[in-house]
Amino acid sequence: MEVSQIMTAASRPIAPSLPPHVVAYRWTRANLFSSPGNAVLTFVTVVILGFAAYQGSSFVFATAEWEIVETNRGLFFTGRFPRDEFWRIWIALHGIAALSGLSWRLWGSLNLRLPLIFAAACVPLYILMLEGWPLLWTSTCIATFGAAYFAAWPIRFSRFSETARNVTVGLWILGFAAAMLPTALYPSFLPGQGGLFSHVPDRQWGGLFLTMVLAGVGIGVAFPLGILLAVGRASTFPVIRIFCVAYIELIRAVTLVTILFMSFFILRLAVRHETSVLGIPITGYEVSVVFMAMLGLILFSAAYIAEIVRGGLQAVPRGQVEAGQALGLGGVQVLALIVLPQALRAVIPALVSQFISLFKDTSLVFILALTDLLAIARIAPAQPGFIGDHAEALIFVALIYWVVAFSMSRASQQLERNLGVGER
Amino acid sequence: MTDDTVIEAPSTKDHKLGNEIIVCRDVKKWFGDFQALCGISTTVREREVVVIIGPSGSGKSTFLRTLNRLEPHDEGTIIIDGVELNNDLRNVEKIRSEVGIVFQQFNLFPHLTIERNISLALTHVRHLKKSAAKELVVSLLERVGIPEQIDKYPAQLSGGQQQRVAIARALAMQPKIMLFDEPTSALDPEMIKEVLDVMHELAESGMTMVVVTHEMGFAKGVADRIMFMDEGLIVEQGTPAEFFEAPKEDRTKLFLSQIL
Repeated sequence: MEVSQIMTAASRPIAPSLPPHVVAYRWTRANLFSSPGNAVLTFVTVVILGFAAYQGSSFVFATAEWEIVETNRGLFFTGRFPRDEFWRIWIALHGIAALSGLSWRLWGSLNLRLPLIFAAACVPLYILMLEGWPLLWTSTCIATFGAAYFAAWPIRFSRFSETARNVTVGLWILGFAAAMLPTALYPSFLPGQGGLFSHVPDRQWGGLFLTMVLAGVGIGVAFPLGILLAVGRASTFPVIRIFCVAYIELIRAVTLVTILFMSFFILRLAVRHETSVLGIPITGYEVSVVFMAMLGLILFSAAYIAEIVRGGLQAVPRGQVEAGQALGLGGVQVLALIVLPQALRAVIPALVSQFISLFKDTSLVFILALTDLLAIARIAPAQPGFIGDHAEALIFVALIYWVVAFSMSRASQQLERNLGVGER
Repeated sequence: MTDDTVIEAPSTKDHKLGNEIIVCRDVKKWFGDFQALCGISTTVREREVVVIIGPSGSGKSTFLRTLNRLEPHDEGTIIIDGVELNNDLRNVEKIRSEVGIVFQQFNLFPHLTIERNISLALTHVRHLKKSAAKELVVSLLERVGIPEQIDKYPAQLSGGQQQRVAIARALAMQPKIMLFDEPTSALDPEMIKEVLDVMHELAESGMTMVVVTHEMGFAKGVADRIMFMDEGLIVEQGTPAEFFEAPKEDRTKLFLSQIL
């Protein structure tokens, strides 16, 4: 079905009434063997691809020892996070699952082909990772996702769809603020022990959990900050403009590794010593290393996001601003209602690239001795019993990175389609 | 030619002109070293339709845009409905919400539906409820003849329809004055008439209008006064009959001989 679709699309001059094998023959002839040079190229490519596929699959299905992943799944997913506190992460995951289900129904594609490919890619993760409690929790997560999806089923095309979408966006922001930020700030601002929640030192955070917290908070904070910087750079107030330009150009001239080092070692030293003003201690806190890593990632990404958004701002015609002003809208209203919506939708592809980039850059926090997902893949093969199983660990981690990055990419394409980019 | 002669000139309409609503005294404007307006003095009265014509670069669009401060003037005074246009933002925003403008390039908001294009300022400047705003939008779209387009996006409309939406958007604020900056210049010929018809109807309803246009038919048929500008100055003005039949200035005669 799919193959014949591709072929008819590729061989438009051929009448659709021809039998499929003739279509296939002509397509192959036209596209793969059109000249002696192309024939050789096709042959060599097939040999190389076949060899790679054979080697790859024989490794994955025969040679590889996947016990390293099965045994260490806790490590891969949460690092050294204490097992007794896993319920916190599961609660958060259920919230995310519910909101994702809701969002998928309210915004998502109605085409089921891609979700199925995506689900197929997740199956190996599922089989490898699950038994006992995690299996139960994962299943309830999926059930929550489905329940939210079907609960929102009738809303998509009803007159409440806009309200429902606004509420969902609000819930995402609320959930983000309520869960992610306090979690991120917890070690540095709240007393360590006692109360309802026991203290989990941030050094024990790790694996996919740490990667997602860093990337999630990073994107969630760097994006609005980047917008502010871009708007500031276009400001007519010299002080604001110069500050924004200086910030952006300074940060872009420095590597992320440098910023991570600086944010941790220098800032940490600066606030560590007991200093008080009028008897109120302003320093002397033990600063969270995760918070500092987060800060570094945010400060770094915000500069790049600012430049992307600036490109979008410049793409909005001057007449749009004038039309808004002429209606009596104030400066902030013109920006928020007219300019930014157009500017941001013009730069969605570049923005999402930056977000994916930030997600992958989180692996650099290993220089602060944090054990993110990639760091676990480097540590795990050092355990007795798994010595040398580097490839297995890296392939597994690569699959997770791909699943996350690919979903971000798909989500952005869906967003573009929903917003009608290029049509309006 | 002084303003007095203009005001005393017999109106082509049966409605009476009201009080002075736009008063300009010696308005000057520079773009860098280039002086775009070299001292414009004129008054426009309520319900008057003034058509500004002139060669390109004569400052006619610039002058129009100073009237709602899209271009701040550098010298002279502009008083709109008793409020002076100056750097006081409150004055500027008050005047802008009472002076509608229609642009050559429409400048509709491409990311919003036709309904939101028109209701945006109603909900965010006039603070109307969404339902009340929608009622107004429907009646405005009926007035410009395209009520069925309410849920579309600007790119889905023809140029003429877009310009009519732009007029409806400006009218939504219930302005006392409407400015038109070459509203038909970006349109295909067959769409010009539908826009001019809407403008004609608007003039009949007693709207104060200042129109920059090259449509001489519209100028002859609808204007109370023609104002001819060149090199940043008003060269000559008068009723359509005076202006087209018996121009006094040589530059006017030259211009008319080129376009007619």
